[in-house]
Amino acid sequence: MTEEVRTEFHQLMDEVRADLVQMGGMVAEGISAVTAALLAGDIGGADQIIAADDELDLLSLEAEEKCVQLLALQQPVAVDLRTILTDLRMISEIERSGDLVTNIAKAVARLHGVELEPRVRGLIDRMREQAVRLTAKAMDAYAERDAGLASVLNDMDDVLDDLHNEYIVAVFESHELGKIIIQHAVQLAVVGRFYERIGDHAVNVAERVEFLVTGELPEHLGANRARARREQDDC
Amino acid sequence: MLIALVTVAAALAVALVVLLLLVRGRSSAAERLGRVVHRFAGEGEERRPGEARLDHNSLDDWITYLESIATTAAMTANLAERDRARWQLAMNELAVGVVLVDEDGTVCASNALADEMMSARDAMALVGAGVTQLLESAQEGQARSRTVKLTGPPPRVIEISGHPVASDSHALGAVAVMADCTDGVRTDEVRRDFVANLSHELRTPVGAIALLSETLAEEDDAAVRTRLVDRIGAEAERVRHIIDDLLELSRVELEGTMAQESVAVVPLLCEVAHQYSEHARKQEVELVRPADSAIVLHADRGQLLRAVGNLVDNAIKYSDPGAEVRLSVAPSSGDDRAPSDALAGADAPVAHIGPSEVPVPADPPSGPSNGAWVDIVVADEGIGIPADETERVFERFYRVDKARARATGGTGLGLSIVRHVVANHGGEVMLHSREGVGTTFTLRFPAYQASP
Repeated sequence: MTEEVRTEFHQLMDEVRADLVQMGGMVAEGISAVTAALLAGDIGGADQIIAADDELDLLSLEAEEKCVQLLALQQPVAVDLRTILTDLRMISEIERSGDLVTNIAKAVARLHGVELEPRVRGLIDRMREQAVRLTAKAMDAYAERDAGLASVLNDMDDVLDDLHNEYIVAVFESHELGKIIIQHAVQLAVVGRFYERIGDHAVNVAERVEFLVTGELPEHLGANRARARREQDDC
Repeated sequence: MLIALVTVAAALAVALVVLLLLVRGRSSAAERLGRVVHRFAGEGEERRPGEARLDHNSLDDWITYLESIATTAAMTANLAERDRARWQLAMNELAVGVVLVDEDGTVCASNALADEMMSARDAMALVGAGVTQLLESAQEGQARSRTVKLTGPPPRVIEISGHPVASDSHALGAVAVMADCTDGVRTDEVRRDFVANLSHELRTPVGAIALLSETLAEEDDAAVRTRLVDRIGAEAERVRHIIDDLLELSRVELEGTMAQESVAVVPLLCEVAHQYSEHARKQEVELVRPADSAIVLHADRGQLLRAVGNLVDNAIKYSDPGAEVRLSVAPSSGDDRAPSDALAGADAPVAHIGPSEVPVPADPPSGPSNGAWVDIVVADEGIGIPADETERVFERFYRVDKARARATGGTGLGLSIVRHVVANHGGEVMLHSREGVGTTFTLRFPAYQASP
């Protein structure tokens, strides 16, 4: 590659990185905004959040196009290739998180007028806090290429998983006490699941960052076991 | 012989010419060197070419001169470096973020606030992305601005703008400014809500009294008349409460702490607990009194009673039967702006309402030394305050739940009074809350140092 082409190449890679950070910011803001709308029963706010997802979709398509362009025209190798592959995977992870935010927004209308118990509201707020934190930390690990931070994200996600379990219990206790009908309890349980899934996507992002930096994925361990078994069977 | 003589003469002549040429060459090189050096030293412009300074004739002179220029250049570079550092530090003091890019879009200067905002990866990343876009259009010559609203909590409103930087229509780059307008937006909101809430709070009971008395005038049934009179009495009582609290608030605001004395904290808290024990019993809430301690504050006793009383009243009001309300007092270093509280969770949102929000009229005669503070804590296991409301509950007439407000009574001024009392004493209020888990109010006062 000539010097000029290389500069152009890295500029485009930097653009993709900036796009991804912006997408992460959109998801983080989306989680906060949708939680505020959910707790306030604000259908108008929820509709705005659903509309805002189009922006995220557009941005993710643009970023993907840039990645394809880089792959097709520059034929990168080694760390550059890993970076672009990571970027491609991350785009879909973040885009999916955005869809989950939209799903919560859609539930706002279905839960309209339902008075939630303080305990349930508090748990929703804590899930919001954890989901935002995980998303931001995953983006931090990505932007800084911080494999150490990426590796602790899985443990951080346990906090969100525990909150999710506690929340499900609280929702159904609320139903048993006759505070909410079963339809609403199920709807609320599904909402909790959306928060929990956002955390999982953040963990996926972090795993991809680990791969980017170290060339290793957690899945490699399992894959090695499977490969060993396959070889044994062949003998 | 003649031939030899001619040869010698010719050789001499050639040598002379060569020597002459050499000398000429050297002197012209020295002249050129002189010109270059003078240009470096910034002295050449006024001099005509060839008019090198005559006092630098030998090579040694030039070397000495060059050395002095090198020293000056190093000093100039040093000054430039200091100048740059001074600009950077001055820019860091700005309350707005500033980013300057050159014509290629490469960042050439930015201040600390801008760096912080631009490197965020949470929702704040939207500010960074917006700035990048504005800088791009500014490089194309278009000045633009935009408002980025972040939900939080805490909610934030950031105004960002991009402007082209050009000298005589020659583009040199672009500058972006990001300003946090949260406080301004919030102040407007508070002012607007205050007027609306005040008229609502005052009009409702007055309107009710007018209607009830109209009905009373046309009513003959004695039983109904009694009921109507009772209702009128209750509504009048409500107005009286509001007026009392408003007067109390303005007194606390205007007078500051008039009557400062040594106040033993534990007996004061027990007095509050005693005062509200009947209220607590009715609500089936257990009031836990503080452990014994000899902590003394220099404070206005009446105001302190009022502040703690308001908190205890709220704590009982917003607790379910069977819950506890705990009163405690402890010395504090003041380092932990967020005292750990197992109930509300270490990561619970915190609101600080410090003296910066309210002017402190009077310094306590013996101020805090070594950062020593006293924390009075009122903790409940009640319904909690939504995360996005913790900043606003201290506003006058602000209600978290408008529907519940009338059922629970109260004037909506209690926490405003608390905030002012604490500010009067040079302290701050901290609030941790989690819905469904509980709320903890910490009143942090400067510790009383007995004068020697």
